Formats: sequence, C-alpha cells, structure tokens
Amino acid sequence: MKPEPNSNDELERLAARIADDEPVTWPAGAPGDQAVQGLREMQQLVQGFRHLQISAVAPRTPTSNRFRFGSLTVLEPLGSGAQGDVWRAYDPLLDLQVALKLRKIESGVLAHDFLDEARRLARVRQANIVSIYGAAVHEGRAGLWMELIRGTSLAQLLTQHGPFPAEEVRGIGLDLCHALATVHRHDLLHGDIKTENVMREVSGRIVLMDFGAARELDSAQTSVVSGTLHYLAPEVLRGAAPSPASDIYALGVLLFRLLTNTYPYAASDLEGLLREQDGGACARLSKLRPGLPKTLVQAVECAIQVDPAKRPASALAFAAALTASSEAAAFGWRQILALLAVTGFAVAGAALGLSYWRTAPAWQAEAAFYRIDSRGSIALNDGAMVAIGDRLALQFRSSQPAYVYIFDDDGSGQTAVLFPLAGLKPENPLTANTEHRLPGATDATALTWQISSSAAREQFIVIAADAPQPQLERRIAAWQHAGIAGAARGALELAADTNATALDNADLHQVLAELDRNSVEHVRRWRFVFPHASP
Amino acid sequence: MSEGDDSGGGMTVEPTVVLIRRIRAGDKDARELLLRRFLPLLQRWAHGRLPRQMRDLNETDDLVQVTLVKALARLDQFESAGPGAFLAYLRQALLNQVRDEIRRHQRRPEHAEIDVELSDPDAPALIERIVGSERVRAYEQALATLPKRQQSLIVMRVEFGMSYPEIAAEVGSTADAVRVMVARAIVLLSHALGEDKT
Repeated sequence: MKPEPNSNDELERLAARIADDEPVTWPAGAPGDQAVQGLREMQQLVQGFRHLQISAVAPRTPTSNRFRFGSLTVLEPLGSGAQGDVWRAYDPLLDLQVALKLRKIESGVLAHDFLDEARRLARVRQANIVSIYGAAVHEGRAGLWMELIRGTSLAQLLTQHGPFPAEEVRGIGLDLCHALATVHRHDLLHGDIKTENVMREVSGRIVLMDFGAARELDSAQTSVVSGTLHYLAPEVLRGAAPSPASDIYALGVLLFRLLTNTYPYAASDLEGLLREQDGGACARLSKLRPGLPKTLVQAVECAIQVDPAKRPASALAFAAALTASSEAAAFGWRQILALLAVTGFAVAGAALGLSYWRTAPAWQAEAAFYRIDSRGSIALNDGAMVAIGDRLALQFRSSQPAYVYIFDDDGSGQTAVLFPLAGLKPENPLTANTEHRLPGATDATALTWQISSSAAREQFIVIAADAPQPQLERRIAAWQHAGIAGAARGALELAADTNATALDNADLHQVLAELDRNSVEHVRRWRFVFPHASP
Repeated sequence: MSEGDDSGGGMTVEPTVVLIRRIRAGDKDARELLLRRFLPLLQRWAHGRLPRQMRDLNETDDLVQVTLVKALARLDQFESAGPGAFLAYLRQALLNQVRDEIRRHQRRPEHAEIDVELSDPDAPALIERIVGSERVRAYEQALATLPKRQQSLIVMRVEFGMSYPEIAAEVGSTADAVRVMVARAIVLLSHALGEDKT
C-alpha cells in the first residue's frame, strides 16, 4: 500500500532526500498540502545553498584549454547556441563557477543587442529564471555570465523518459507561469519558450533559460521573430508582433509536448501549420493521452487557442487555471455552487458610488456596485458590508465612450486589477449611453467578481477616462489580474495569488497621483469602500 | 550527488561544547582550534550570504574573521542551547554584522561596478539571486520559529553543507540518528514555511 502523501513518515522520507539534495518524486494529489508546499520551498533553498557550496569548493586550477575573459577564467565548453557559445568559467570575484555565454562573431548579432539580454535579465529576479551575474565586452567579444545550472533540459528528459506524469507537468507549468509573470511584469517577453530552454536541476528546480530571443514589449513590433516554429503563436506566424499572449501560447505548447511528446499541430513547415490552424486541426489532448485530469486538459488547451483573446488573460491566470486543475478534482462541488451563482443581472434602483473626485457637468458618468445572489442583485451603498463568497459586479454608464480601469485594494498592501481583463467582453473603450455590467462576460457566461480572501475591507477604485491611459495600461500589463480561472465558474476571485509578487498599492497610488494631473473633463475617479462582515 | 556519508571532513572529534569550556577556562590552544574549525566554514558560507557590493573576497573574509574573533571574545555571553548551537550563534552574529555592513555601504558611494545598468540598489546576496529574496526571507522567518536545536541542525546541514558524521561529532550523536533528526527538523520547518505561503 502506498503511504499517504502527507503522513509524517512520508514527509520525513521526502525531507531526508531534500537534505541530501537527491531527486524527489513528489506525491501525486497533494500539491495544496501545506507541509508539501513547504517542502518544495525547502528544496529550492537547499538547492540554492548547495549550489553555493559546490561552487565554492570547485577546483581553481582547471584544464589546459582555459583562457581568460576579463576577470573570468574560462574552463571548458558547455554548449553552443544560435547567438553564442556557452562555457563553464570561474569568477574569482564571486568565487563561483558560472556559465559564460560568449557572442559568436559570425552570429551577426551586434554586441549591443547581445548585451541587451544581460540588461533584460538583470532586471528580472525569480527562482525559476536563470540569474545573471554580469556582462562585459573584452577585446571586442561580448559576453555575459550567469548562474551555472546543474541539470537536464526538459527536451532531454522527454527523449530519455518519454511523456511526463500529469502532476509533474502541472508543477512545471506553475513554476513557468510564475517565471513568465515576472518576465511580463518587467515589460519583457521571453519569446523562445520551448523544452530545450527549460532546465530541471538535480533537485527538481525548474529554470527558464536563454533569453536570447527575449525582447522588450515596446520594441516587439520591430524585432525579428526568432522563436521555434511549433511554439510560435498563430498570430505571430501570421505576422503579428509577439505579446504576453504568444508567450502563454508557447508555454501551452510546451506543456502539451511534455504530456504527449508531440506538438498540437502535425505539420512541420510554415505553410502546413497555417493550413492546419485555419482548418482547426489541433490535436486533442484527451485523444492523445486519455485519462488526464479533465481540468489540466482544459487549462493547456485554453492556452493554445488560436485566438489570443481566448487564452488565459495573463501568466498568473494560466497558473490559476492550472491550480484549479488540481483543486477542482478535489472540490468538484465548488463548481456546482458557482454555477448556481451565475444569474441574470437586473438593473435595480442603482445607488451611485460615492464620487470623491470632482464632478463636471458636461460628461455624465455613473458607477455603482451590486451584490449578485440567487435572488437577483442588490445595490451596494458605500460602506455596505461584504463577506467572503459574495459576488459583485459594477454597473457603469457614461455619456461618452470611456476607458475604464478598476482596481481592488483589500488593505493587505496588494492590489488586483479587476478590469480590463483580456478575453472578456466588453472591452475598452466602453460604448456611450449603454448600461455596462463589469467585469463582463466570456462567450456564454456573464461573470462576477468573488470575494475569496478575508480582509478588513475591500476598496475599489474605478477610473474612467476619455482616452487610453498608456502609463496605466503598461502597469496593468505587469500587475496581477483577478484570477480568471474562475471564469468557468462564473466568478473571478479577488484573492491575490500567494505566489505572485503583487502590485504594491503604493505603486497604484503613485499612478493615481499621476492621473490626478488630468482635468476632470478627461478623467473620473470613484472610490468604494466595503467593510467585511466579521465571520 | 549525496555527500552525506563521507566521514572525512576537517572536523576534529572534540565537540565544540568541550572546546568552548576549555576556552572559557583560558585555554589558548582550544581557541586556535575553534578558529581553525569554523573560519573556513563560515567564510565559504558568507560568500553566498553577502550582498553584491561586498563580495570582494578580502572584504568578506575580513568580515568573517572579525565577527568570529569578536564572538570568541564574548564567549561568556553565549548561552549554549545544547550541542551544535555555537555554529548557529556565529551564523546569527554574522548575519547581524552583514546587516550593519549593508547599512554602512548604502551610505558609501558605489565603487567599480561592471556595468552601471547592472548595478542593483537592493544589492542582493548570491543566495537571494539564486532562490529569490522573498524565499530567503520566508526561510529566515520560519527558521526563527523553530527550537534552537532544530535550527542548528538545519543550519549545519543545509547552509554549511556539513556531512552527517561531522554534525554527529558536533552534537554528540551518530550519523544515522542525525540524518533522521535533520529530516524531522526540515519537516518542522516546512510546516512553518507552508503556513507562510498560505
């Protein structure tokens, strides 16, 4: 009989392996277990410390073919990529062995572009992203050095062992979603997510590598697309600029591949791919690998939708969908309850939200929150009590087209973006003289926001503007969105994703302060405060 | 990749508690012995825990040495919480010292940065760059909630990379028993870490 995943013996067995930095096979079906979650954290820490110890005791007088790159002693070649060769090197300043990537002169990549990778990576720091230590040009050669990863690429593992267990794929997906969320938060794209570019360290840590194809969001329009064909999103194949949505597509393809050892589309050339995508010839996970958890299948297939608007709205939303795939299996009743809550939205006598900003006569705009339950909807006056599980919607009407942005600040210091959410209708700008109910709806389902964490209060900030607010849009792209995983259940959770580095609300207030410089003819702002009913 | 079973290592058999007792009694040899035992271990450890601005090797080694010597000079203030506690105590002293140094460095202009674009105002330690500073902070907090004995076991095994026989010599036990104790301590820590995550 298999031991219970969270029995103490089993936990101690896992802990001993972690302490010895040996590979760990995680028990299936217990990802939410607190102790297992803690052990996973512990594993990453042990791995980190181990990394330092190994580097520190590594021999300092290595083989004969070594040469120097600045202060680094280059030891041996590790591999070769399109842009550069990778060497194992010793950095005496760090007292560490590092991976040094030297630009190939013949690569045609300018030193400046090559060093861009270092600059980009230096801004991003996350456990599942390779850490960069430095970059320089010496004697005309550009090089950047980074953390030396001891492990195997997912591509190699796939070749050696075939498709991965479903639970492992989910874990890898979660790690990479969090890595991507960090990348996107820095206004960057990875641009080349594939099994070859993800390493699994000896301890199991998943590391996203090779940002050679990464690009700034702003410059994505002009950069040359360099990703691998199968991983390129359909819109990118058709000439559109890469976007966070195309990174999400690539991650979807990667997970698909880990599960099946094939790609969603069989064709291997551009023409064939385009034809298959137009014809809807995407392979079905459930056919290729029957018996997978249904919700995992849904999460992956959602990410590889041809229409980018139908994919998860953000990397964190993808993570939430992957999490839902394990939770839903355990808590099927939640979905049933949630379905009950998807109800029609009646426009009752709306109590207007307290507009604490100025009012102007020319532009009429109204915003009001409602609580939705099985009996219908109740307008919430400012100061009304709310509780966990409550479903809320915002009724919005304006005499002119408006760009609307909604934030939730539950007082925890973190802020969630509630609107706009990609993939939902309506989108900005909201049409004039129409009753809009936000967050909106997917194709078939009207959605609500659901309060899913306990806090002292919920504070909603609603902004309406007569033009797009670029600085706000940029931040929103980087900040977290309300978990869209709940879309299937008709409600978007307001709870912050605990793994995400959320937007600090000081950051929000800074943006709002910038907006304040706009005149009231152009920007409106409402604040709603709803205290939580004590449990 | 496990190195847990090698019984070599630079540790002498005499447990630290015994050495401390001898130092307190004025034994200079014991003091030398203790310095030699812990200095390389702490120096190696410190490279990963020091912020970027300070990872000049000499500066790190200097800091470790000064801290260790200071700690030995204040041995009377050290209240042993059982075998193995001294290393955890030194580690804490070093971390405090590092924090002081960071504050001092922040008031000092930056010197010799490789690339201005790469300079980082947060100056994370190497370990923070590898696993993320959030994770290191959560770990420190969780570790502090554990009983001192469990703290020492985790610090010795995980942070200092000591082998089980080395730890066994330190705490006066057997390698097999230590392996079990370390695993239990890690489970305990994982509960605290898991709570923190939810």
